Amino acid sequence: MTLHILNRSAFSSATPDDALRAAVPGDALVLVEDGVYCALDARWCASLPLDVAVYVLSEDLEARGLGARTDARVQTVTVDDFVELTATHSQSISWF
Amino acid sequence: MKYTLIVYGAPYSSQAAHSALRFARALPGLGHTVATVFFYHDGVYNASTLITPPQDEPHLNQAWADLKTTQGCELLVCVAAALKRGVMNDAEARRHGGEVHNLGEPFELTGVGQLLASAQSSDRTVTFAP
Amino acid sequence: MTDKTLILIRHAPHGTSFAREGIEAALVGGAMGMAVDIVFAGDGVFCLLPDQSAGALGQKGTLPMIKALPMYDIETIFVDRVALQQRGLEVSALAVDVIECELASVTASYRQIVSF
Repeated sequence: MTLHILNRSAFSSATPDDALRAAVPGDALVLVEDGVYCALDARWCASLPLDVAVYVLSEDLEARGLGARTDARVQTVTVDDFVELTATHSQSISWF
Repeated sequence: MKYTLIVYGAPYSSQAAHSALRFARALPGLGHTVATVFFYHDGVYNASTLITPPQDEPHLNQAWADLKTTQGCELLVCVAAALKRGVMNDAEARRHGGEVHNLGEPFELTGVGQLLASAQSSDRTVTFAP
Repeated sequence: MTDKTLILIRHAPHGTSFAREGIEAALVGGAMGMAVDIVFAGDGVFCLLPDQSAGALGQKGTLPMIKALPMYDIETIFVDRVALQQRGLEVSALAVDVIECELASVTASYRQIVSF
């Protein structure tokens, strides 16, 4: 199982689409830094596979004033949760 | 678990260094350790001792040094990536005929092979890019 | 799962140095006898085009390094099939012999993945 770490906005980059295409069932994806803007992108969120868990880092979301604006498919996590996601997945890929 | 963190982002230009530090500081509380932080690409600028942020911004060079003090990790800097960007220690400065240097303890210059060696000897590798 | 390290190149040559520095890491790893494979995906597939040259002021591209990969015992060079298709590129037109793959099926088998 791979943890995909994404720090690009789907509004300005094709990287979020590439990351989704590389995710297989059971993988997880965490949105960090400018990747948190993906959680507002209805087009991108509609393309999320049901068998890939998607998380967004709360600190990065709140710093950008986006606390309550995320898609229902995306689950908010703390830094500690992010660390544990890297531990529970056998490897990570950073998408930038 | 033992972690290697890779940093590609220059300080103050992208969030990469902040994100890596935040991640590294969370590791011990969860029973993990950071064994190595490897600075590559523009991440090598984190090692410059000349970094002088305004007082209301975090001092990233000092924050990395503090991380080594608290967690005992290595702070490795790719020598090829650093030299071409003007980041070097006393020995490299002398070797290239220069009189000034801006890298010293606790950062170490090393070859990029050490990046792969660190990754292979760690349980987890996480990359922080600009 | 293999104990090999996978270098993932997703950036094009010249515009940034990510591809060069990533391929450099693979070459050094190979020269040191480490188990390293490399995969090109996204705009990274542009690193494999045969007619590249140095840029303005002699800025180095990636082609000489790509050609050196097999000499450094990096014999497995993967390229993402969809990335080629999206860019209208044929595997037969690339500068070196590569293995076409689905990116997800390659990455799943490596314990360490370093992306550039």
